[in-house]
Amino acid sequence: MSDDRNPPETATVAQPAHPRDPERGSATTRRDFLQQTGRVGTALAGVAVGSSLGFPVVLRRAEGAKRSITVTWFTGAQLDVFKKEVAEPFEKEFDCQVLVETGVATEFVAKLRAERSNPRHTVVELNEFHLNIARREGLLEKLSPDAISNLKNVYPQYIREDGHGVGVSLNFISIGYHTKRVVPPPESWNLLWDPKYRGKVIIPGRAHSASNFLVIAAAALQTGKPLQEAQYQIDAAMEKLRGLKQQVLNLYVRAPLAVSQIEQETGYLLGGFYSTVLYPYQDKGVPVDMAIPREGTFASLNTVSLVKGGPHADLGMALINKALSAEFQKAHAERAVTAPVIKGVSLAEKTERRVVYGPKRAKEVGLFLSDYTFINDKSAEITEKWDKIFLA
Amino acid sequence: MYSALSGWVTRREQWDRAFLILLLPSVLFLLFFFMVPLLNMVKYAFYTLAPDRTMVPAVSAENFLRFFGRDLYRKILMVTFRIGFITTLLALLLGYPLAYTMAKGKPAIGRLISIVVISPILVSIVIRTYGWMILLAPNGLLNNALLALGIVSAPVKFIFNEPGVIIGLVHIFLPFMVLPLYVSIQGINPALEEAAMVLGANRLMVFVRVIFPLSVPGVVAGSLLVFTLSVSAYVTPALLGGGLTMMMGTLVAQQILGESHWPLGAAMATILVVVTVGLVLAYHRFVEGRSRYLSAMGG
Repeated sequence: MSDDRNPPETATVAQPAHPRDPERGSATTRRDFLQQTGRVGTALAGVAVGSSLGFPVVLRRAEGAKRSITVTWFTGAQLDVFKKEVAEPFEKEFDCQVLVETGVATEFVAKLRAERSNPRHTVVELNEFHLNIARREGLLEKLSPDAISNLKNVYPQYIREDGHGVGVSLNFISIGYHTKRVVPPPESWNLLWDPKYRGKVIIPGRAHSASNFLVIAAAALQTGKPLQEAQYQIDAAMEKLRGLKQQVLNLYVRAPLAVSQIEQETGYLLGGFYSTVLYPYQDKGVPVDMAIPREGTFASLNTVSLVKGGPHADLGMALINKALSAEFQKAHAERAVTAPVIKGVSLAEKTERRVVYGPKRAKEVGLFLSDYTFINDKSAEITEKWDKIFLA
Repeated sequence: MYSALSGWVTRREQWDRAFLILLLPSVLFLLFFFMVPLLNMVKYAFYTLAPDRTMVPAVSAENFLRFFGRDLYRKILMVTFRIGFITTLLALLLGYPLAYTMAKGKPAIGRLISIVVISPILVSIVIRTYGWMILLAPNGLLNNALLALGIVSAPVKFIFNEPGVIIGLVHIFLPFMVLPLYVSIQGINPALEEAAMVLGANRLMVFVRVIFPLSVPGVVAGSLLVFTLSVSAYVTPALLGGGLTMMMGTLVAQQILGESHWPLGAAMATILVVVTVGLVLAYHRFVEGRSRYLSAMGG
């Protein structure tokens, strides 16, 4: 709010366009131009040198405008749902502005690190791997159930990292397959090793968190142990993965492109794939489906967190509360094919069949939540061993 | 006399000053968007990584030692330069006849070739690479044609390997070879060719003794462009390599985006830049020496 009596700090007293000669109006002289260019040049050079030496460079926004918060969110169908069901109504309700930045989790964590001393973001959406990293680096605030009342409706297993992040949507990772070329449907992760599908298996590249789940599945097959125990057996996993190389057509970089490879029948099996990415293609008539292997499926939880020291934390908490509302959770589930993380949401029958909602369904599909601390600590080792196998 | 000279000097100074002012935006641009990030990258290469994955300012050779101590990384560096070299060679072999025809052939054909060569630049690299994936897939157009003609009995693996990456890179960077070659060949005075023929040289000798030596600056410019672009490529190797063929660009991305190991990623990028610049300088020196030799032979 500002009026004539209390002008905002950025307002300036009216000045003639050229103080030395008002008749010259706004015409710019050569001297003016050179002086201004010199100032801009000096400023830019200062910023450049300053930033290269590690000094924080802060560009401040004009104050006096209505409050705004910056939020990171993943792209795809879920972004549309977030904008329509959370961000837009939230702006009206709280008379503020929600600036949404999109990207990938690695990028979000990199931004939080870079602005650690002066955070610009308030709320950040992450996956569990990066939530674990960000929490351990002290980049996140612990969420307060007093300020975020909807937290009490969340299934306890989806409040993660000692309350520094809460699930906002859940999809599962399993084997995606071509329904006409893979008959009967895969019943075990071991089907990826079946010589019948040699050269028809597409697996995730190391940039995808799904690759970690393939490693765990391989360890379970090699050791015969359940996923919970097998997840710590990296060498056993690598032994099993060595036999997968001859089966592999390629490692996917972009998940949608991998589905189009299945559609074109270049490959038949997606060894470690996201249900939320695959099901929309099924709706478009592509003959694909997600398998439920007997060894289990993996939970892929997208989470939201409050950035430590971020601006307008009160708005951030209110926004997280809205993202945990039954309305948003239902809309997200129906439109992005993800499971709600709160109790008591009624879903359409088709959605209910495709998502892992509630403890009963989680048990049916053997939904497994991995030890992200262990995987993150061993990530470099896994990548190096993985590359040795698949680049050999 | 003195005042005329003094006036000339003043004008010269004014001109120099104006020139410096004109230069300022590009200098600032390069300083801010190229030199600063580059220096930052080199600085990070000497940092270490704390257990919580934050960078620790230091002066350590740890990342360089790790890179050169691993067979895997050295192999990826070798693969990168092998792909860069083969791509450059193929682009030169394919690009020279195109550039020659554009410069010396019938104008209508030259225009047609230039449209064919330049128009792909208007389409995004990602789209073009997707196109290659569809064409070269095991059940793609090319394999289907080869199978239908009975040339092969089983699909040939054209992609998700080194040849696939090279095919994609040659297509994408061919215009960067053709255009400098075209400019270079077009600038050759036709009187030199006529003089050579008057003196008894046949078409082949004219090409070997006159055209090619005089087009070497274009060969150098095109080769350097294609080589440097190829060795630093990311999208095409990532998609057509299918995760089974890795180049330095994809390795750097893996360390920075996947492992959050910025110091190691920065060290890898620094190594790529240093080795590339070294190879480029060596190539430049070799070709210049060769060119002088050919000119001497021709003269």
